[in-house]
Parts: sequence; C-alpha cells; structure tokens
Amino acid sequence: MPQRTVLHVKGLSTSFNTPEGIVRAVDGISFTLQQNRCLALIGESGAGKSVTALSLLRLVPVPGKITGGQVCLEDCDLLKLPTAAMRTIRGKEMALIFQDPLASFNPVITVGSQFVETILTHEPVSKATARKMTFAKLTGVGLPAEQVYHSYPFQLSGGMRQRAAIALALALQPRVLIADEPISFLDVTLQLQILGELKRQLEENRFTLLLITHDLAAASTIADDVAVIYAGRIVEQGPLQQVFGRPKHPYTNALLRSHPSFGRGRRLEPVEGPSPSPLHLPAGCAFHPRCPEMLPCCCNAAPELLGAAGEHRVACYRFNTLGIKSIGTEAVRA
Amino acid sequence: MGHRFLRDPASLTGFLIVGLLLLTALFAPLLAPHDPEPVSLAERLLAPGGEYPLGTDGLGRCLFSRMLYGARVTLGYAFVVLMVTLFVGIPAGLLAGYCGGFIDGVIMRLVDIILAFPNLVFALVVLGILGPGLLNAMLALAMLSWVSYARIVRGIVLSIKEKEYIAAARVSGSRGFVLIWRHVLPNVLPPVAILATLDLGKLVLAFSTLSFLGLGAQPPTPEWGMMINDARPFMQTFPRLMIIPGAAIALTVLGFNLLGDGLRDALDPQGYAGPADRREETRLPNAPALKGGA
Amino acid sequence: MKRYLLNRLLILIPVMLGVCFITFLMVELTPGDPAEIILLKRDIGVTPEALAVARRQLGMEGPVLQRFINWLGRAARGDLGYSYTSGEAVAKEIFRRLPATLELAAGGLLVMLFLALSLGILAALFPRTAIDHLSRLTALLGASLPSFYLGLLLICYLAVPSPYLQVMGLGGLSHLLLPSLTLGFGLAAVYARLLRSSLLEVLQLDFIRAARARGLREAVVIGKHALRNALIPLVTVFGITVGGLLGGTVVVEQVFAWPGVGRLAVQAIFDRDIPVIQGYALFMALIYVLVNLAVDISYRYLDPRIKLGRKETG
Ligand SMILES: Nc1ncnc2c1ncn2[C@@H]1O[C@H](COP(=O)(O)OP(=O)(O)OP(=O)(O)O)[C@@H](O)[C@H]1O
Ligand SMILES: [Mg+2]
Repeated sequence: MPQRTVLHVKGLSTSFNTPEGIVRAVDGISFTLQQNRCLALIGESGAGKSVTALSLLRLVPVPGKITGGQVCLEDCDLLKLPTAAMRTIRGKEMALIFQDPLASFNPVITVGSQFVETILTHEPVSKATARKMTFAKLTGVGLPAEQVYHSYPFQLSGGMRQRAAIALALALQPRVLIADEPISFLDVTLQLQILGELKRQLEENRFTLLLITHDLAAASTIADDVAVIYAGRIVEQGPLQQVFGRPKHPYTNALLRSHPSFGRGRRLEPVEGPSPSPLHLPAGCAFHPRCPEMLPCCCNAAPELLGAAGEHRVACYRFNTLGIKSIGTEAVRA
Repeated sequence: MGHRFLRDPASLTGFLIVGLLLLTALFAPLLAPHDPEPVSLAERLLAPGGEYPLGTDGLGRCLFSRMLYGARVTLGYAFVVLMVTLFVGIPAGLLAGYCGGFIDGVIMRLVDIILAFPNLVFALVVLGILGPGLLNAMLALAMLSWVSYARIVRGIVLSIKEKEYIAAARVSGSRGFVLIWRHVLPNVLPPVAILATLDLGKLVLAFSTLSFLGLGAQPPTPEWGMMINDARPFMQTFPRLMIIPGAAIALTVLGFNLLGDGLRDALDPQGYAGPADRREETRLPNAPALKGGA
Repeated sequence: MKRYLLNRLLILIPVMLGVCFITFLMVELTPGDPAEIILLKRDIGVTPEALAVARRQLGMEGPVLQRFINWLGRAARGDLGYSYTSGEAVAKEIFRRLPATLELAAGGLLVMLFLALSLGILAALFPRTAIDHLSRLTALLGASLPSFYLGLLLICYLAVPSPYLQVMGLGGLSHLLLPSLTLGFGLAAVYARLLRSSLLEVLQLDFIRAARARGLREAVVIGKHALRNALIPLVTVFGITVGGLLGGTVVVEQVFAWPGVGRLAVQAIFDRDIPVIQGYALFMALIYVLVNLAVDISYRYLDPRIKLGRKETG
C-alpha cells in the first residue's frame, strides 16, 4: 500500500515560561503520520506527550508557547495560520480525545447537543441533518444512539463515554486523530474494547492516529510505528517490530524491561533513578544520569536522532559512531 | 500567623484604619474642639477653618467634633450589638448542635423564620413593634445577626461530634458542657472571630442605614448616617456636610472588611476560608448578609 | 423532582406559619388597643359597647391562638385590616404601591447582573491585569459604600448636572436608571468577584480545552460552556441577594422619593400604623420565600447532575 503522509511535524518546540524558569516541555521533535496508520508516542509521565498533542492543535495553555518548528497538514503549516483559520482545523481536520472520558464533555449539556454544536460549527447543515449525523456516528461506535443522544455525560459508563468521545472526535471525518492516553482511566476489559474500536475505525475510515500512551501493550496491539519520547525529545523511532523487537536506546530497553509483557520471563526491572526535573534537565543526553551504558561524551551534547537500520532511528552515541567520533574526541580533548 | 497577616498590604490597611478609628472613638472627648450637641444658630454653615476645622452644620454645630463623637457612637453601638449577638448566637448554636432533637428543631425553626424575611424588612418589623429609636434599632439588629452565629457554631459542633476524639473524651469521662468547652470552643473561635470582624462592618452599615431612615439614632446624637440625612437640604450648597460622614462610614466598613479578609487568610480555620483567590466565595453563604441594610 | 418539591413545600409550611405568627404578634405586642384606635379614627365615641363591637369585628376576642386563627383566616382572604392613618384597606394600598417597588427591584437586578457579568468575566479572562484590579477595587467599594450615600452622591454629581437623568419619583427609564444603579451596585460588586473565581476555576477544566479542540468559537466556549458551569455555584447565593435587593429598596425609595411600599412602611413606623407594617412584612416575606423556592428549583435544572443524579446509573 503506498503510504500517504498526512501530517509532518518538524522540529516542534514548546516551552513554558514559569516563575521558576523556562521548561522546555517539547524540544525539537519531528515525526510524520501516514494515512490509515497509527503512530504510538510513548514515554513516562512528564515526558511531554500531552504538550506535543496540544501543540499540534495550538492549544498550549499559558504560560506555554510554541517556540519553533513546523506542523504541516498536507502542505499547510498550521503554525503559520491565522487564529480564525486554525479554529476551522480543530475538530474538522484534526481531533483530540482525552485521557479522562469525562473531560471531553461539558458535564451540564447533553451528549447529543455537544455533537450537534460541533457539527454545526464546521458544516453548513441543518440541525436535523446534524442530528442524523450524530445518530449515525453513535451507532457507528456501537452505542445505543437514541439513549446516548439524550444523556448527560455523567449518566454514561466510562466505556460508553470514551466510545462517545471517539464518535465525537470522528464526527467530521478529520484527517488526524490524536488520542491522549484514551484508555488509562478504564479497566482492563474496557481498554481492549476501546483499542479495538480505535483500530476498527482506523481500518474503516481515512485518517491517521497519533496514540499517546505509556502503556506499551496498548501501543503494541494497535500501532504501526513507535516514537519514544524522553524529556521532550524523541530518543527512538521506527516501525513497531523493530523498536520493540530490537530496541537500541537504553531508555527504550529499560522501558520494555519494566513492562510485564515484554520483560519475558525476566524479573521486572523498573527504570532506575528518578525522572529528571523539567526545570533542570541534565546537560547532554537527558537520560545519561539513569543510563546503565553511559559514555563519557553523553554529558556534553545531546545526540542526534540518526538512522540505525532502515526506518529505525535512535538518538544515542552507542549507535551513532559518527557522533562518538566527533564528540568523543572533543570530550577527550576537554 | 501574625507575620503573614501584617505583611499583606490589604489587611495591614484594614488594621490601621480600624486602629485609628478605635483611638478616635476612645479619645473623642479629648480631641474634639467643641461639644457636638448644642445648637448655635448664629454659627450655621460656617466654612472650614479656624475654630471649626471642618466648618459647622445646618444647626451651627462643629462638624469635626460631631465626626469624632460619631466614631464613638457608631463603633460603640456596633460593638454592643455584636456582644449581644455573640452572647445569644454562640450558646444557641452550641445548644442546638449538642442537644439535637427537639431543642435543635425549635432553634433552627426560629432561625428559618427570621431568615424568611429580607434582613432589613425584619429590622423594620422589630422597629414597627418597638418604635424608632437608638436602643430599639440595636435590639432589632441583634435579633437579626445572632442567627448566622447560631448556624455556624451548630455546624461546627455537629461536624466535631462525629470525630473520634470527642468519643475518646466521652470514654475518658468528661461530659456534657465540659466536653464542649474543651473541644468545640477552640474550633469555633477562629471562624467566629472572622465573622465577627466582617459583621462589625455590616453592623456599622446597617446601623447608619437605620439612622439615615430616621429609625435609629435620634437628634441630637452625632451619628454619621443621621448626619447625612440632616445634610440633605444642603446637599448641593454644602456637599461636605454629606460627603464627610459618608466617607467615614465607607472607610469604617472598608477597614473591617479588609481586616476580616486578612484574618480569614491568616487563621484559615479548616475549610472555613478558601485560598486567597476564592476569598469572596467563602464569605457569602454563611455571612449574615446585613447587606440588606446597605 | 416531584418528591423534592413536595418536601421543600412541606418545610415551607411551618416557616410561613411562623412568619405569619410573628407578623400577627405585632398587634399584640404594640401598646395601644387597635379597636380603640379605629374608633377614634372613625370619630365614634369610645364606649365599652362600641369597643366590644369593634373588637369582635377585628377578631380580637378569645385566647391568642383563637385570635391568630381569626387573623390568618382574614389574611388568607386578602383582608389585612385598615391603615390607622388613611383608613384605606392595607392590601389595596400595598397592591397599589407594590409595582413601583418591584420595578425598582427589577431595575436593580438588571444593573447587578450587567455589572457582575461584565466585571466578573473580564476579570476572569484577564486575571492580574488592570481590569482585574479595577474589578477588585469596585468590589471593595461596593461592599463598603452605604447605598444611601451612593444614591446621594449620584444625585449630586450625576443627576443634577445632567439634563437627562431624573431623580425624583416614578417615570420612564430616566427616572429608573440612578435608583437601579444605587440598588444594584453593591450587590454586583460581590458577585463580580464570586463569578471571577468560579470562572477561573472552570476555565482550568479539561472540558473547556476539549471544547476548544472541537473548534468552537471562543465566544461559545466562554459564553456557553464556561459560564454555564461557573454560574451554578452562584445560583445558591442568589437567594440571599434577592433579600438584599428587596430590603435595599426601602433605602433607595427613601433617597429617590420613589413611591413604593418601602417608603410606605417607613412612614408607617413613624405613624405607628401597625396594619400597614404587617402587610408590608407579610408581602416581602412571601415574595422572598417564593423567589428562594424558585432559585432552589432552577438550581436543580441548571445542574442536571443534581436533578437526575439519583434516578440513573452513573
Ligand atoms: N501549564 C504548565 N505550566 C508549566 N509547565 C507545564 C505545564 N504543562 C506542562 N508543563 C511541563 O511540561 C512537561 C510535559 O508535560 P506533559 O503534560 O506533556 O507530560 P505527559 O508526557 O503528558 O505526562 P503524563 O503521562 O503524566 O500525561 C512537564 O514536565 C511539565 O513540567
Ligand atoms: Mg499527559
């Protein structure tokens, strides 16, 4: 199947200007999303996953600011769009699903009218048509449309709510769907159902899915590609089989070992050491204080994300011989 | 606590205003150049300056002296009403919360009935029975404002009754009102202190309102609200006769409000005060809302 | 919902009875015999026989409870007695003047809502800016300025120089503006701050971000989604405000020579005209209690979580 790039992110950076100092929550990350494929963005808490998602939609809360990069939807750089034009992208071309399914809906307005409101904002259709579209979408995710339409969010169960959130996000057939930890508030059986739903929608509709998660198992069931993010930077990226099967970066390795289904017979080992403080990131590779295979050069400059094998790329001096040479000699000299 | 309180410019301002007012009220006889009451028609409406720092009013009385004594009247009576309020409201709340049952029912129904009238309307009812007058106005305000203390104290007693250490105290043998005294009162005092400070402002406001209507202080008492009413005929020719007492009332109420808010932040009694940004939010629901008099 | 309403009404019964009893007691507690006053007013000689007749007519015979029941019965039929001074039926007099008071209260309410909404929303949208400080200052002023003082200042410095604003008595909008402003200002100030903090809190919530992520216009996000949620906690406080509004009319009517029931009541206190005060108190309490009931019910409609919470699973 020929791959069609829908979204191309280049060097996206977002920082928060807090009273304590500048937090570089997202620091120059790049990736592409292909139609009908799913990229899983994985990383521990505070790595910058949610900020990435919000940056794509230009919804970073104050004091946050996108400081650089490009977010190209097909040929259009979203970061250069005027505010009003950006609004027509949100919900219509690029939709977002939240971790807490309650968070997607206004608690005091019925689910149905939130669908209708969204459709009417973007499409020149009658209220009756919007209503019909809503029913179709709700039925499409396996919900009893009539009942859900008239319900308030709190009247639905967690699973139903998240299905409704998926239906709402897909209501206008967006080209990009971003799901920020869509299953972590649900219990295990529901998690599988929702993942299945996302997968089914991905197969049936034309869009691309950016799945944000720290659940490696979830990523492995649905993703085609994986990007591992650490302290605001992507440290490893590539097709699922390669990244999970032959992880290169020590952090990916540690992450996989810490997970029950990938630890495979070995003892579970949590990633050692504390997460870095976002205000005082270590110089060089941000992972080096926790890295079991640290090299002397790792504390000097951050390694670049370079090809390891085919599409598989990694930002680590162990696999970046060029980097070791150039920086290593500097380190020796210094 | 004291540090935090005095470092906040708002509460410091409140503290200074209230302090200054108290001093004025205490030393009014020493500070005032004239007797505030006797009428001297020959010296009507004199301009400020010389013998009369703020001039004289429509009946030739020294405005400055009347202002100083007015602080005494306003603060003094507000304070007396507050004392009566506390002496009725706190025991009523303790009794209702501690005894429960029938007594609680009676007290709370009474509270409900009083709250069924808009505040100022209730004051008018009391004054309708008793007739206008300073003492009657005080009584009316006292009958109104004990209600909020009874409610607050009752609520605290009820919530504390649930807690374990009261049960433990029961087991260890302290009983009845001794129990309340030991455990409930310390919890009751901070919110009551805050409420009382804010209430002083509200009482000053309500008191001057009643006097303005002619239902409170009677001539020749130097009372600020009444002075404003007296100044109405000269409103356009001699506006200072109205502006000065009005500003004094506003300043007094402002002082108590700032002080009360500051106290709330400093004492922060469990959950009765919110974070600084939400200050106002916690004030309203349990405040006595004498605002009706404003 | 029905059950809640029924409960709420059941609680109201003893309260309203209490209100009536207190109002009724006014005659009992005031010195002076109403029968005698009536006779004097009507120029009938005060003889024991005439007094007895008048007493019977006034339902003043028998023990207190009996008299209370008599009084209640007459009040229920709209007979609140006759004014000592004008001799007119109290209910009639109050009904004649009530519209003016309600007009004033409505004007004050509108001013309050307008000021509170605009100041509160602006302050929440631009926290810690000049406009926020301005709204805080206004709130402090509003809570501290006595309304009669504010009214007089407005007359002195706005109405007198302006050819458009009228200050005395009833009339069109030009008459209503300043009294409404006087009445609404103090209450608005408090609400503006309440709304600010409530709105600031709601704006942090995820569903606001979600609404933006769906591409809704900012005006819809703030005006519909945020405001609706932010107003819910304020509704509970609204009942108290109505009390302030109703009580406040007394003062404002006095300042602006507004011919409403408040002026009537104050004058009645000076005249010791007990039936008028009784009628006034009864009407005000009734309006206040009914408005509070309406507020309670609307609160349940505004927040479906309370309205439906118990019936459905969730
Ligand atoms: N409003 C904010 N103000 C200041 N810093 C922020 C803000 N929001 C996020 N950050 C910073 O951005 C960094 C990334 O946060 P983000 O929410 O993207 O993490 P995450 O990867 O989504 O984690 P989680 O798994 O917990 O959701 C955090 O370390 C935090 O310090
Ligand atoms: Mg997140």
